[in-house]
Amino acid sequence: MMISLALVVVLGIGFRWAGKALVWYDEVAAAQLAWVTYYGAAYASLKGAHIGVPSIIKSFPISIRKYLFILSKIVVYGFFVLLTYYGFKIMIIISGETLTTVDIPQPLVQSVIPVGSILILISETLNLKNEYNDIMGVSK
Amino acid sequence: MIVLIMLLVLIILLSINVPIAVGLAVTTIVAMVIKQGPSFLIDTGLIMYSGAKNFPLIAIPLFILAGAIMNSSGISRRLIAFASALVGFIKGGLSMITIAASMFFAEISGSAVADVAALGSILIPAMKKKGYPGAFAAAVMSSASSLAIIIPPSIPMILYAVMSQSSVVQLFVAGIIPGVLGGLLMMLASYIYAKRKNLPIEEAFSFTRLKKTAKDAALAFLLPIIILGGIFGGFVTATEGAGLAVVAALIVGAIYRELNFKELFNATIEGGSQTAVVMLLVASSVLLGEFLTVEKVPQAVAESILDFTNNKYAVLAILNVFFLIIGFFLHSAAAIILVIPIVMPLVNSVGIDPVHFGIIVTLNLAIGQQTPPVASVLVTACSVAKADIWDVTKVNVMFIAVLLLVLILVTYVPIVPMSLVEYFYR
Repeated sequence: MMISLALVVVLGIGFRWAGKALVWYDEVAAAQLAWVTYYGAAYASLKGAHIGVPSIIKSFPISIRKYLFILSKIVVYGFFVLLTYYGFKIMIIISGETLTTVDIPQPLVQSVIPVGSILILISETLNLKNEYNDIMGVSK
Repeated sequence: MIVLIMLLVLIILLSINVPIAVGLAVTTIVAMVIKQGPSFLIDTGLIMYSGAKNFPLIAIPLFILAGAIMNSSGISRRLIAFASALVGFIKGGLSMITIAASMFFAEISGSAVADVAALGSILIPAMKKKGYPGAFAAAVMSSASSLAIIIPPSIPMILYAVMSQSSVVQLFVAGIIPGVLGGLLMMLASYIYAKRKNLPIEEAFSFTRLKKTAKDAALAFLLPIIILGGIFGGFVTATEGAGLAVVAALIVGAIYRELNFKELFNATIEGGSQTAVVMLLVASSVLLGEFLTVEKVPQAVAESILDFTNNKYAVLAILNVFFLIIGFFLHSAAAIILVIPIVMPLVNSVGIDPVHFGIIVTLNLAIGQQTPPVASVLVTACSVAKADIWDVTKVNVMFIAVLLLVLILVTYVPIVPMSLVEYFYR
């Protein structure tokens, strides 16, 4: 995905220099960035790479830590479930529309929100045990 | 009132290790639903999408990708050889080489963590082998790498430009002098340290060797000239320059015939993940932006500080202290995304040039990368050197002092960063 994004930008410059600017280049490249964002975010969830502040929770006593961990995960899951639900709803609302400059269906492009969110939920679940062990100070 | 409660909830969420992007989005959604009713929920999905498709920010994954290609194509090794021929004859040569190589590398890559990973894995073991203290090796590497976000291209600057609606190109130009100055001062600091600890020199100065290594690395030098020349000359936008960087790095890698595809593949995936982490934050900050606009928070912040003082330099001092404190706890991208939209009206109303302020912010964040507990670059350097963070920080204090000195200079002598900008663009 990163590589195709680079390709589109390079094509865009190339064609502009050749005097035939590609009208679709900005719009497509921007949509690709959104795709990199959400699918990449799913990968980052898998690796536990999202930017957070892990040091504070580790200073709480072990007994409370477990509940705080559960609370934090409820927030994360809640958010992405919400995003999945409303992402699908938007797809239905905008069905039939296409991008302005090129004939790609808008719902397909914006499907990244619900689909990406589902992938993030799956990745979070796969990484749950690792993260729990890390928070509780259990070495792997 | 609702703002204070929100802030409190956000702090609680962050302290139980909810990712910042999620915490930000959730608090905003809750606050907006309370204010405007559940109809805001459907906007959430739209905003989280449109927030992520920000054209100027495409430069971020592209610069990361270009850096990844460079790392896996033998360019870093050649840069080190050249730096060694250039400054290796001075006492404590390897630490000089580290700083010089970081400065060259910064011209191409936009991220400090990438620099530590690329150069540190070669230079830190080399320094330890020569008898440099591990803590010193890690400190030099870590601080020198933070030059990467001051010397263009710089990912934090791109973020700042988007958040504050100022010119990326002018920010890039303004970063050159402070970045080079910081590098030279760091070299001076490490020279003094090396003299005291009697660290070894690397090689006698030889003009033939300098010429040979320069020739070897010539293509690597061509890269920043093409990229930055293209951007500064106005031939391409910053985003297109980043695309150009990817192509140029691929070509140079192909000519050197050292491109390692497996490494490159992994680096690309890593880069995608880094981009996503930042972009998710950007998307949720757009959500927060909606709320801030409705509640007029930035204006309120501006007024409350202006009641206190409307002196430009006093305001700058307040903002500097604020950013330094934030730098202890927040990752640089997160700090920009959270704080810039809130302080920008204040900055504009006291007549601070947004480009000048951008360099100040970037320098603050460079220092933030060196100050634990949250210090991405320092932590990476420590893990490469297998050194304790606190031991490294004790040595690193002198380099942090250098960065602080540059910060004060840049803040109160605006001509230092702005002279090139004035010369070229105004």
